[in-house]
Amino acid sequence: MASKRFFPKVLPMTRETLASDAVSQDQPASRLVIVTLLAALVPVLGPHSAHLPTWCVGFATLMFMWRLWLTWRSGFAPVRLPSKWLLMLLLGLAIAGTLWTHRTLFGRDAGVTFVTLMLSLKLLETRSKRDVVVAVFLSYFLILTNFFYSQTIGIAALMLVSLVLITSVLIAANRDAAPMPVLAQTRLAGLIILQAFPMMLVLFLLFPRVNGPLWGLPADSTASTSGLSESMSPGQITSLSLSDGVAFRVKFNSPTPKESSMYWRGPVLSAFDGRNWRMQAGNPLRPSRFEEAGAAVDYTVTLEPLSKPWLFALEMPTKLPEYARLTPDLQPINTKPTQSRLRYDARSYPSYRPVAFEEHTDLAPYLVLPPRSNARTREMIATWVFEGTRGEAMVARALRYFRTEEFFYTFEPPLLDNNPVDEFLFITKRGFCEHYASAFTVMMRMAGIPARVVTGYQGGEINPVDGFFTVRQADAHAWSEVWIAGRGWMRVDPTAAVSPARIERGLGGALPQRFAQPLITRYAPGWSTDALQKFKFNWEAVTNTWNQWVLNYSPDRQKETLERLGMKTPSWQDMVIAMTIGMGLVSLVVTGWLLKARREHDPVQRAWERFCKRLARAGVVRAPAEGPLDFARRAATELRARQLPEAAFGALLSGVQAIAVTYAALRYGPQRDAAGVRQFSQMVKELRV
Amino acid sequence: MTSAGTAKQPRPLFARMFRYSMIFNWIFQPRGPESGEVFLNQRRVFIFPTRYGFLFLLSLLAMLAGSINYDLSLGFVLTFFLASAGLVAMLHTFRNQVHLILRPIKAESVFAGETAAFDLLLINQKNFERASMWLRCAEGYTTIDVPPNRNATATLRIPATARGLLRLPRLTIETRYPLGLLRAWSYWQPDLPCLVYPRPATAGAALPVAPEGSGEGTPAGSGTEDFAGLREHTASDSPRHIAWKSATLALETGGALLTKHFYGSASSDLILDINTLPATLGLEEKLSQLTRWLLDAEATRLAYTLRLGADDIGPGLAEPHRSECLRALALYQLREPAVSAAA
Repeated sequence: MASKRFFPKVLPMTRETLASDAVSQDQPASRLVIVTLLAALVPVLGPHSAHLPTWCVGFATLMFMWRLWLTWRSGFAPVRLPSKWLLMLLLGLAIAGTLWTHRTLFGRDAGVTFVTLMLSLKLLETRSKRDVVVAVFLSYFLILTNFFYSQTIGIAALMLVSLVLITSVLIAANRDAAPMPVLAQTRLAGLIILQAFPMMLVLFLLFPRVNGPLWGLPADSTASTSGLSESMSPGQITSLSLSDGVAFRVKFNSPTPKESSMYWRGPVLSAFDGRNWRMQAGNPLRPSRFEEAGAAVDYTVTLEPLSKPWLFALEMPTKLPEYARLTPDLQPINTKPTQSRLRYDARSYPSYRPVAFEEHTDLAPYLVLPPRSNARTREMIATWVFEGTRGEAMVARALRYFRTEEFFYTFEPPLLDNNPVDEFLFITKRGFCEHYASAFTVMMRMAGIPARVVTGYQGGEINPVDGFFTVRQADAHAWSEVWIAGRGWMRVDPTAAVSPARIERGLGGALPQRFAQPLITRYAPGWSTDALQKFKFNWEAVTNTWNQWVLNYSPDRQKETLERLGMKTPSWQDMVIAMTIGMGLVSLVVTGWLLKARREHDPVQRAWERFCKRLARAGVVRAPAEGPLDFARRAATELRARQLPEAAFGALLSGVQAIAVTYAALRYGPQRDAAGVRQFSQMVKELRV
Repeated sequence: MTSAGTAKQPRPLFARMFRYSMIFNWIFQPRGPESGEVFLNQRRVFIFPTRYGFLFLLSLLAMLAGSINYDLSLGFVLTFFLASAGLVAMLHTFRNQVHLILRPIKAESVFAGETAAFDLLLINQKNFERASMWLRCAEGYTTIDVPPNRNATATLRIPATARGLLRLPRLTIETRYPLGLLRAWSYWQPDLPCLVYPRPATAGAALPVAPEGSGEGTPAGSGTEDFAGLREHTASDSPRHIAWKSATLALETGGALLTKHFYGSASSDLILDINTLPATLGLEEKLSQLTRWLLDAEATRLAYTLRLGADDIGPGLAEPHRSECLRALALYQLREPAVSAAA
């Protein structure tokens, strides 16, 4: 019945609570919070400066410095921020600028530009705790956008630091009574992230992954570039950039074949307009054939995203993943562009035997040349034909020409004009694989031999640390295939004729010593020391593990991993169950960690509890809500009733009183010193009950 | 620090139904005023996401969708890191609140129109800091950090509007620390009344001093106070007057503390009688006037007698006579001495 009287007064979420709630959220954010926020934004926005439009970087920096200056100038007085009208004007400018640069506000690049501008403007109107929280959430989002552009270990480490710093801003914003030292708030943020790590791991491994995309990817979603393209125009570029970028990594499951026989087949270019080689559009031909011969090579390729549907396989592949197919000119392709790192198994026969079955109509497209171009070459080939050179002899003669004439292999060839083959063969005589493959294929077609250009990669590099074979963009190569009657499509690599080292030892060996090489290029004796090499291999192995396990954790990989962990054909329901159990277990551990702290009692409290326990044994039990002085008084009364000898009782009584008074002073008093605490423990120890 | 309560608006029907439902009763277990220490066990701590918590959840969903769409492995890592940090923050927020001990300390008597200060002790028996603890009710709020293994006194200031006993309404003790995504809260109604004296009337009316010669009153101001004896200690007595020599005995015997009783050397004919005031004044105005005179008499050190109805209090001057008279004025003719602050 008693409860009836106060019942209406008890409310879970009263209007008053909500009202004072608003008061607490409207508290002005302290200087410390603002400065911490600005500092935490540096590693978040820093990496973005590389790909944001210059004006956007300038704008954001300006807003940032402006806010820093305003905060610094205001001292401890309330900061005076720019007027709403000025901010509206700046917002209009930001929107106009984004639209002007990207033609849209949506999509990846436009979105990142816009969010960056919004956050920088938000800094200029951040007054209250509420504004800080909004800025913090925006910053979390900006951390994510960094991964659009790079997911390297370095960026991951930097973003982890950003995550801790941004979280520390949130902590600082929630210190309502007294501010916390910067170091302590950063440590607490780090602790929270550290405690979150095992849960994150469980979620990462077990959260059911689905294959993206959920909505259409904008055209700008993958920024990576390949060393290969859909067309090849020898002589149009005067220098070839040697990119260290990884094209793909290979793990051989059977003995590694010889490096010189590793031709990774990619786009086949068979349409030539006099300057450019292109892929044959809508090739309706019967596919080229070959027979398995020699040892089979099994391997797993991890392909970096390249926004093209191309796959790469050793010549010639017999087994490819289900979704892949071979074009009629034997290029392995995917059903859709590879937007993310892709892993697939394949089997190839490097010593394959081509089969000649084609008829004239199958071969006609491989003989097409634009009329009236490269007259000098045409003339030379006509002479050779006139001299009776045919078929394989013609191939050998053309290669001999490259060897005997003064041809040089260089990455900085001169520009070629209207008749690029003529100019290359008779005047400049300098070029890289594209020049040789293009000129050779043209020569063959002029001689009536069906020929095509094959692009892809050649060679690669084994990493002794993890046994992965790395093929880089710098390994991009172009070679020719000619059709010889009775034998079929045979590979000819004219670059090998001029620079055998290029084929046998990779790019590094083919370059003249004076040529400035990128640090990572191999076989550069003189400055590449063993230690450097070892470091490079180790780092590569780490990067590869990172790619394999963190970046390439796809739905397939997840399934594979869970099967290896003992789950048989896990469905998403199984994963959710496992995830829930895992999260529960990890939460228990973290809770244990957090609450473990409570067992390490304060020495004063520990001594007091010892004292209470001793009195409880003597029959005086302290009530849970009883204060120390009340308890001592009651203990005195109850002990008096025991009829103890006078001397013993007196000592006990004064002991109990002294302990209670000292405890109250130590516990509730304004301060305590170590000596007082020690003395208190001593008093409890000496008490005889 | 304090914000005054505003006019009450009718609550929606659903909220009212919920308030009287069994579910409500079962979840929040209303307890009413509690005397003594309160230990916030797990049953007494509630936790629920704040608005920011829901906003955070929403942004996590957006980040998850982005990670799936753009196939960002590190996007997944970040999203899951933040989700886990949210869960860890829940444990931190709960830990920040649970097993805290609350104890009402004191509320010094004030005059109506002033602000009553309720001192409440927060006892932290754990070796971590309990930061940003909020204590709030409709009339005011305060926030405080409690260091590890220490105590902190939170002072809740509430405007005292009417004389009588001002009881604290039910308080909400809450924290959102460390990330502000979740709010842990508990309810506590400490049994800590504050005695509110009548509001003194504005100065003007002269003291109703009796004609000369009717007593042997000597003007006060000599500052001499005579010890008159001992009487039982009451909450409104100054601790300076506790008879400390006998306090030890009181501890042993379980008896009450005693307070030294003084009165001014002068006795006077200054009688503050409620019945001599004009009938045109209302009761509260009469009490206000008496309070004003009492204060004036104290200021001029004139001994006085308070006459409310049949019994006289005094004559006397200074503590404890002053407190005794003010107490009588505060509680005079109050049917229900308990006046809630919410009233």
